[in-house]
Amino acid sequence: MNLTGILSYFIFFLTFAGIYAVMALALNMQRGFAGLFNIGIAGFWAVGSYTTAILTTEPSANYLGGFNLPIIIGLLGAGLISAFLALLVGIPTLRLREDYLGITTIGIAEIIRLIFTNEAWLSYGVRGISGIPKPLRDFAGKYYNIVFLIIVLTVIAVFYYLSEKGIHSPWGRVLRAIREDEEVAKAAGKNVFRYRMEALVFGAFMMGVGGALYAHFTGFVSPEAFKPMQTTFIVWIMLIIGGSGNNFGVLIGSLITWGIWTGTEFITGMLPAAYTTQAATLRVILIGVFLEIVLLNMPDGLFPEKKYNKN
Amino acid sequence: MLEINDIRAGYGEIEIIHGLSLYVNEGEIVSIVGPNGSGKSTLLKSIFALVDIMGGEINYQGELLNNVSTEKMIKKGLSFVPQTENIFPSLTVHENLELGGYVSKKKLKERLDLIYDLFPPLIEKRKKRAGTLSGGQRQMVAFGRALIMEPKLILLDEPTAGLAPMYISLILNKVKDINDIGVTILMVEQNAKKALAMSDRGYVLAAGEKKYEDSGRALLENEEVAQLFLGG
Amino acid sequence: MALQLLLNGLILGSIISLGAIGLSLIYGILNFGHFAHGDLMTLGAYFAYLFTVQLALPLPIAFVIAALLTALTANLLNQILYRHLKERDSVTIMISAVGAALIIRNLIQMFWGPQLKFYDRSIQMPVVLFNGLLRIKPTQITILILSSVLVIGVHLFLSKTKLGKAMRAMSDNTALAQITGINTQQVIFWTWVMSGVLTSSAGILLAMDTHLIPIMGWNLLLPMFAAVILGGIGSPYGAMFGGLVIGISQELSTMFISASYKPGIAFAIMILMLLIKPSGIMGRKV
Repeated sequence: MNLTGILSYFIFFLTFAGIYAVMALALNMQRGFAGLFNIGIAGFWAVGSYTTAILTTEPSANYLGGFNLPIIIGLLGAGLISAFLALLVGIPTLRLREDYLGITTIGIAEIIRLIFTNEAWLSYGVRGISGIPKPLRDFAGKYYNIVFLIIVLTVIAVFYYLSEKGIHSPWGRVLRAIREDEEVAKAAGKNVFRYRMEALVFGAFMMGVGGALYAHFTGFVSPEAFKPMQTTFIVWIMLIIGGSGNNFGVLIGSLITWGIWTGTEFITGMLPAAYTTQAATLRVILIGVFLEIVLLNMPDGLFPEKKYNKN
Repeated sequence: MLEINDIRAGYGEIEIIHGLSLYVNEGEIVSIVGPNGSGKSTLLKSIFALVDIMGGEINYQGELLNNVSTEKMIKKGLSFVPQTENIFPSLTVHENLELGGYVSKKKLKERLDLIYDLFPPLIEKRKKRAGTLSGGQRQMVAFGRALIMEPKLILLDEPTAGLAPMYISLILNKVKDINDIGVTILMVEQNAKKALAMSDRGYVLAAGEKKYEDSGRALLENEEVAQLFLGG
Repeated sequence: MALQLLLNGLILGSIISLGAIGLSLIYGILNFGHFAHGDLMTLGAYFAYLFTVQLALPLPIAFVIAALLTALTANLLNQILYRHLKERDSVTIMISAVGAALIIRNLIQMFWGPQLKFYDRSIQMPVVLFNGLLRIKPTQITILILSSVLVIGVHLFLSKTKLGKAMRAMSDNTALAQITGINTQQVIFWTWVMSGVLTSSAGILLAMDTHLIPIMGWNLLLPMFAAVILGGIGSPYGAMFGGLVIGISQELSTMFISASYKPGIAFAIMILMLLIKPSGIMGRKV
């Protein structure tokens, strides 16, 4: 591989790591700050991807739309629909123990997959939606991948800024207080349900946007493009390694985890071709074992949550 | 029988009991009273190692009780009845009692007879799920469960908490009955007057420290105690 | 039609029930949702495949060995992972279970491949009843008998033995069980053994009814959780009942909606329950 090859691979790598970092920042809002257990990330991801696909592609007889709208509308729409979904998920679960949300998010991710697979009028079923427009394609020309990376980094910067701002505000303090001790927060007159709902919905908005970025980058979505548990799991590893509750740590965690994940592909790539199916499973086993080791030995991740003043 | 010396106890790094001593003689009923948050329950729990002990000694029948496992304590004849959630609601009354301890079949039968004698209302409820009983009856199940292992000393944490007024005297009378069959009682109680009236001795706690100790009667007649802690 | 669906639902429901009993007890006793439970079920089914197809032992023997090996695996998971994480928040222990689920599933796929597998490929002549209204295969009769035997066994164990009662007690109120002098470590060990045996049996019965595939247990995880929540977390009897309700509803639903949305029924029932009575039918507080 020559230098340009390495460089372009590196840009490609960073773009994917960046899209995952958006997801990890979103999960940090939900889990890190509010203590919420979302293991249906892939569901919100898929909703974001499909929403922008339907909003921004050329009109088609095969599925709903497309509406040929600007990509920025696609990103926002993806965030909003995903946030709305979170609202629906939150209503029955956020007054109960954290596990109910976990089970429900798995369920909703599964339902979403069923809908996109079976409702051809909406999503063209298993064939998926292709021709999702690439932002600034004409303007960027052969530098398109760099331009897209810049777009991803911009989204990360915006979410990072908002997330930091939120968590240092009185709102963020209440959120952490609820996470630490729900009863005390309730006794102090805080509407625990509302705060949790806000964190869940904000996080889901980010996940929707992340999903939309993914759709525009790959240009294609289908129900089979998502390996739900695997995707969800990788985002969780990013959060746990980086340090749950620490936005900066989570960004670093995303980079490291994506590095390890693509690294395992190199290792398993060295296996003979006859073992390709085994190689794919070996990757998941390796990353799974990796997570368990981190969970057991590094409870706070690389960058533990900052100690905030209790007041 | 039980002797506590200069105990300090609490949760994690928070000390609630600041160096407190008390003793219980065999056959006595001893009450610990005091305002909310005075550390009464924490003190009782520290004996059964249910809170963190930061210092001091707990002696029971001449043996040091610190760091003794729950199982051993039960074998030595100690029993604890928590304030709330002191029964297994989805188990029948009978199963609740059985689980009070691992004793021989013959012994179990003997103890069950004794317990049903003490708490006749439980006889017809024995096949009912304990969660369906009234508050007073639940308390009897909790007492019964504690009595299975032939305890010598029972620790009661606010036995009348949350009970309807009509049950309070009933349950306290049951405590007296338990004492009459030879079981020593150390209890924490909100109804300070009633508790002290039936107690051989009492302790008044405030802010994690012992303020008064005397016979139950003397504490009741002590004007200072009455004004400060017994509501005039 | 409805009769046939009812039978299918009963079979699916029994399988879900067997898995859900352990899931509910683990929930009650260790206080977390065991997200690897479905994949333990798959593992049991594949262990049986190893012994009965690959090593040519009779299926009943393979059944027992698989159940014991799954029970052992369940205890290993507890020893290596969950035991060390129980001081942390429940989300940590649950994400560790999700990790365990992925590891188990991919190990299975690595060793046995992603293709469908069968214990027995021979074609069975169904027994036809009620003028053809009901067709039932001999295997299905075996499944119903076996699952009934297992459920009755569980009932006898939970209601007659000291250990079984201690399990129910601990699921009711762990703190009280401790101060009552119940040997909680022993109860936890046997809870994993029992859950492992039951979920492995469920997996084997499911594979007998249909086929083996690495995702089979994961696909039943949501119905099992729905059964647990419907019956009330921590209540083994609630889980049995919940499993039957979920299984039968899933099958009957195909009369009204597309069969591809069958998994959605368990989800819908669960959400309904969370909205109306989150403590479940036989449950305690949430």
